[in-house]
Amino acid sequence: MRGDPRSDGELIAGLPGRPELMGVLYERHAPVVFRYLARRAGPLAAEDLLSEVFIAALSASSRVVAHDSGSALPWLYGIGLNVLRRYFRQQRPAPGVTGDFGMDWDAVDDRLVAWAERGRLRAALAVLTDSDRELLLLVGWEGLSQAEAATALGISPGAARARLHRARKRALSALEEPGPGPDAHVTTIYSKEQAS
Amino acid sequence: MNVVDDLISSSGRVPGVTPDGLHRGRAALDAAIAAHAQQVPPVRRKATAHWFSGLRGRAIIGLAGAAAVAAAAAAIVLPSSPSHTTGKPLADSSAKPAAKAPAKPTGQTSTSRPAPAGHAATAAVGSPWRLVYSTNFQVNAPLGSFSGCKISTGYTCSGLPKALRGQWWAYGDGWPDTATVRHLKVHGYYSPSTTVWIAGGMMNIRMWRGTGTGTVHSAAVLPKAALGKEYGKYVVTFRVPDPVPGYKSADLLWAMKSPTGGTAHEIDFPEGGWGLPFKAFIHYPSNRPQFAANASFNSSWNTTVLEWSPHGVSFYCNGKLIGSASGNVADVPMRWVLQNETEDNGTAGPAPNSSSTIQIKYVAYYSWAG
Repeated sequence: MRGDPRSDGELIAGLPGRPELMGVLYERHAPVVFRYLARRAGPLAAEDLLSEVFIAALSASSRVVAHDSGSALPWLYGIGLNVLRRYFRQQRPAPGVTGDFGMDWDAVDDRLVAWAERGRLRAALAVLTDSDRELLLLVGWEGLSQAEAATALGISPGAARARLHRARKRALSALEEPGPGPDAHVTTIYSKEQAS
Repeated sequence: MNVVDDLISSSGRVPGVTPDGLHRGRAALDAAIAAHAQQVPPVRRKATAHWFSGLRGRAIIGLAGAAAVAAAAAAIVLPSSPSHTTGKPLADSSAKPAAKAPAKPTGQTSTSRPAPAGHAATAAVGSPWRLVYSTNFQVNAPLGSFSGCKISTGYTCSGLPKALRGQWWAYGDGWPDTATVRHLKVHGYYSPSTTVWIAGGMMNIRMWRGTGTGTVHSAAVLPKAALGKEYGKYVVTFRVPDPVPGYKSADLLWAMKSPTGGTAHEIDFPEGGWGLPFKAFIHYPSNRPQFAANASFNSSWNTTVLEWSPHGVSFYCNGKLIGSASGNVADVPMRWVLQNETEDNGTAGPAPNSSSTIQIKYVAYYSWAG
């Protein structure tokens, strides 16, 4: 028999006195959290970062409650975001990594079949702020609801709704502009990195 | 807006986490849980070893997760046992770690220094082997240097002096050793930061066990030049000045990925308990031939050579061929691991408060150019 019958909320509530419950959360959510990390940092780095997310969650467990949806994932994504930021800060100036939010474009590009798609995705995301981009990706890549993504980013559901609308609009505008080719976007990202 | 969402979702596919990665992450988490558990009020806790009941085999990266649960349990039940990050080596009558001073290069580390007696003939002109890396450890690395060992940073130990960072890697602190994976009563964890240092022209690996029923602190170090290579000649010169029963070494080639067909997936040489004769083993899926060397892990210097080519595997000890095998040799890249850990052959393991040191004074890797 697999799986612990307790909900994420019950497990989180028990963590302060029983840290081993984090192991249950790991068994339950590690594959999904790994994908979250791998989409941004690539699978190799994600394997190392995976434990860091849950270890950081262990340290923060006394200050958290589960999201209304009952899932621990929004909380874990929020911690994962901090782990990624720290990782990318330490990695700089690794080629292909932006200096703001942090994204291993090589890891992302590997999943895009056509060169044109690389440029399009970068164009769409490069115009967004860090938090708007992450919000868009939490919904688009991780499949979170707006409310869950809001929890992950520590903002209100209303703010998430407004930001998401704004992010999609900006991204669409960027896609529709006859802008420079993909190499120019790479240059832009590298320039930001060097400037930061 | 759909075009934006479609574009993003089309790039969202990633491979899932590998079993290796999943278990390794779990091992690290369990070590943290163990440390955390010592800081919280004691409430009902129980070991959760059933989570990993399917794991078996040698403690390597791929199977690392299993037994850190046992570490958590041990730390909970036995708060006196030292943690992996705070434990200090116990008193040792024979070998002392180098002082914590800035590492100072004292010479060339990757050299063509004449090989120690016993295998010099293998470097003859016309040999199918080409020297890729050798060292006689002329760059010091104080105890604690083998720390921050990670895969994601390109198999590096961030604590090492720069001159050595490109040469050596180690299984990270807290990874379970073979005895732990096998749920043996006396077991341990790799702890390169508390066991390994380089000084006096030697790499010293001083394994130790904590008080009472404390765990064993061990180390598995890997020459990076031989990481992920297909075929090669592997040379190591070593001794154990004061061998203590219950510790062992198993230098081995371990496949980076599963070999095809019925080929060997693990080749060990030298392997044996400290103070005892060592052997060579070839692990095929269905059998495990072995060859005895007329030498032991004791105070005598020994040089072993493992030759792995498309034609087969041969083992030499102090210049003498002790065995060879052909057919169904490994056909995938392997890593070379100088693995030192808790004895896992069913004996009691090392005594509490014990320690023992292996000294390695020469390591070389040759690629196959035949």
